[in-house]
Amino acid sequence: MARIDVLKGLRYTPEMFLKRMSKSKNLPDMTITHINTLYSLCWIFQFRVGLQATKKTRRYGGYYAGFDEVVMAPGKLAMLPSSESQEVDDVCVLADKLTLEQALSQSWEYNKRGIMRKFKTLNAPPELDDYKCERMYKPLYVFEFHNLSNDEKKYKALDSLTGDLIDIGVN
Amino acid sequence: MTIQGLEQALGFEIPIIVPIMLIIYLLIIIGVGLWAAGKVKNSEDWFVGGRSMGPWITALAHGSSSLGGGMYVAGPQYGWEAGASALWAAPGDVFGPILNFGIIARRMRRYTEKSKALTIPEFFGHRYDSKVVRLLSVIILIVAMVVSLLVEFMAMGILISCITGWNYTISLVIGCLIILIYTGAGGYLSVAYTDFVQSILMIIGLFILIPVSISSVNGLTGMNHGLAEINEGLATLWGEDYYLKGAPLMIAGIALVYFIGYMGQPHLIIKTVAVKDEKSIRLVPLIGACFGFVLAFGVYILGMVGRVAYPDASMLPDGNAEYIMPMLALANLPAPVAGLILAGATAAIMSTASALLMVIGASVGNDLIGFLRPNTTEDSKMMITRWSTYIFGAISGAMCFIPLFSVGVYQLTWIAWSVLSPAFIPCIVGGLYWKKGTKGGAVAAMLTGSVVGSLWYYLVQDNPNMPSLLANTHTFFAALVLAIAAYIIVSLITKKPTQEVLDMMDYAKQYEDLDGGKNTMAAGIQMNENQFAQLIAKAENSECLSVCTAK
Repeated sequence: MARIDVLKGLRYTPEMFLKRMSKSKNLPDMTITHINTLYSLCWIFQFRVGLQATKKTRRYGGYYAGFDEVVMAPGKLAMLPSSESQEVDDVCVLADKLTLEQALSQSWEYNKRGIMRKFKTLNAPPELDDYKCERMYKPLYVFEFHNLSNDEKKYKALDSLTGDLIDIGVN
Repeated sequence: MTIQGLEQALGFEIPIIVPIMLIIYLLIIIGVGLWAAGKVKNSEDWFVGGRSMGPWITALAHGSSSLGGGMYVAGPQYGWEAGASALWAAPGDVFGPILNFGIIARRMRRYTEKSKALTIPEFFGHRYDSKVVRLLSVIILIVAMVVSLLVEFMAMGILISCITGWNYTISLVIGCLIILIYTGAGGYLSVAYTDFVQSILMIIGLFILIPVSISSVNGLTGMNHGLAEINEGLATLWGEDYYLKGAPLMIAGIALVYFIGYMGQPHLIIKTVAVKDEKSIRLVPLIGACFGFVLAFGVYILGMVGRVAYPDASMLPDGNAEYIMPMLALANLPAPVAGLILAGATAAIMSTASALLMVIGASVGNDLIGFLRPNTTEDSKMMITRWSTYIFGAISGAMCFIPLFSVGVYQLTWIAWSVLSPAFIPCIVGGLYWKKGTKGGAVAAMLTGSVVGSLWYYLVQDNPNMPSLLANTHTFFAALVLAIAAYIIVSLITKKPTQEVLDMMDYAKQYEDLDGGKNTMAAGIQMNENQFAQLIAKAENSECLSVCTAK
């Protein structure tokens, strides 16, 4: 068993998905079952950023940023997400894709560009003064799609953050 | 010139198979052009071939577009006139593609892809954040390209009239029409594919013609002896009467006009925008340099062989050395092979002309109209682009009959290159590499380069009252040095570019592979078989969390 911090308050739940699918008329003889939940790492950063307003004036700003390892993309966060500690099965926790340095570098580069676009009059590019990192996991609900007409089973995962239905790559 | 003039100079009648070969070839090219036209779906396809061109297509299209009529007709003409000193210009065609794809291509491709620029003026407009720069570049480009196009049309007229015996005017009009049809229909895609076919024919043609012609004058030794007998200087790199001795800036100009000049030619630079990916860019310079080596040295040597075979201008039709290459082919090769080679020469001219037409059309349709009427729809832009290729092609064709432009193909080629390249080189290279380059600097470089490039020859080089150092400085060299100086000085004293532009330059600087290296892991859910099996097994052993059966 592994103890991880799982993101709270995410929009998409298995119940919503199943409710929606039950209304579909295009899937005759299809049984959809929520069989398990995977957990994928999201890097959450708090940046303290040095903003060189003029040659002599330096100000500091705080920004939240993240890197989602399912979509492999950095992002900006309006507020710090909340999480709760949970004990889950080791099998359900997806392996890390990036190191802290890689996630930090990509998140910072992305946010730096955003800051530069926002403050066009800065005297110099913003600098990362300090940061805090938290490892939070987002749930990915695994569904089994069982086609009763030919007894075929397929597995996909629902992203609790984006609502996307993702293929599970097995290598 | 009439066919009788050529036949008289050759001393025999031109066999009928020669024009037949040409006509078959022209029909094939129109077919390829129209086939490519069917693949055009949007303006990106039309302007830059959907940014999907592989290394071979790009390298050969770049080569055949740069070494066009200027090479097949003007190259041998220059070799005939200047002897071995013409070889100063040859390395430029070998190293030109290396510089173009080694220095500019990667950054240009990344910058234009990100900024969604489809033409070089559009790149200028974005990089220098200025409509004035974009408009000025369009004006300079259209003027210089129309002159370059004129050169290709004239060369085309000369070749077709040579082969078919038709009147020069009719030959010119037919040549223009064929080029206009396939360029107007298919845009970049048809130009790239026809260039590919044509460059293969060009290589085959020269591989046959060069050795046969050299052996006809008893090899390279015979050629050297022959040249030395006419004028001692012709067999040396110093030229007739050793006129290049003591004129290093003239030599620098001759060598640099193609060496560096490549980087200022939008119809060649646009090929860097259309390359599929960075991996392809690495192969292109090598292929391009080999192609340039064969062609550039080959055509000048052909001219030198022609000088030995026909030492006096009175032996040439109308005393014009522009006919040297067709004469050598017809005199030394069996008629069908000569026909094929002359078709190859026509191919070279057509590919250059179509590339020039493309750039002119794109400048008008995308840049000029975009500037005058920003809300024009994509369909309207495409239509205007097509029509402007037809209109400017027709204007250029009509200009062939103006006596002012009858100074000869080679001279016009140099004038066109000397106006355009010095004006654009600082703006393109500086725009990609130097963050302090500003719009003021770009305007100064464009004005200085184009004005000095167009007037230097008439006001300084041709003026007997000028000091010898200035008079012996090549137009291209003078224009380039002054344009670079203007770019640097004005950039340093004007306001620096915006942060957005600097960010774009940083982005263009990065290597695609290094970026990719950061993201070695693919997006999506990845797990090994064992983990997946455990996941499913666990689910089967436990109670289902929730189930739904679709209706």
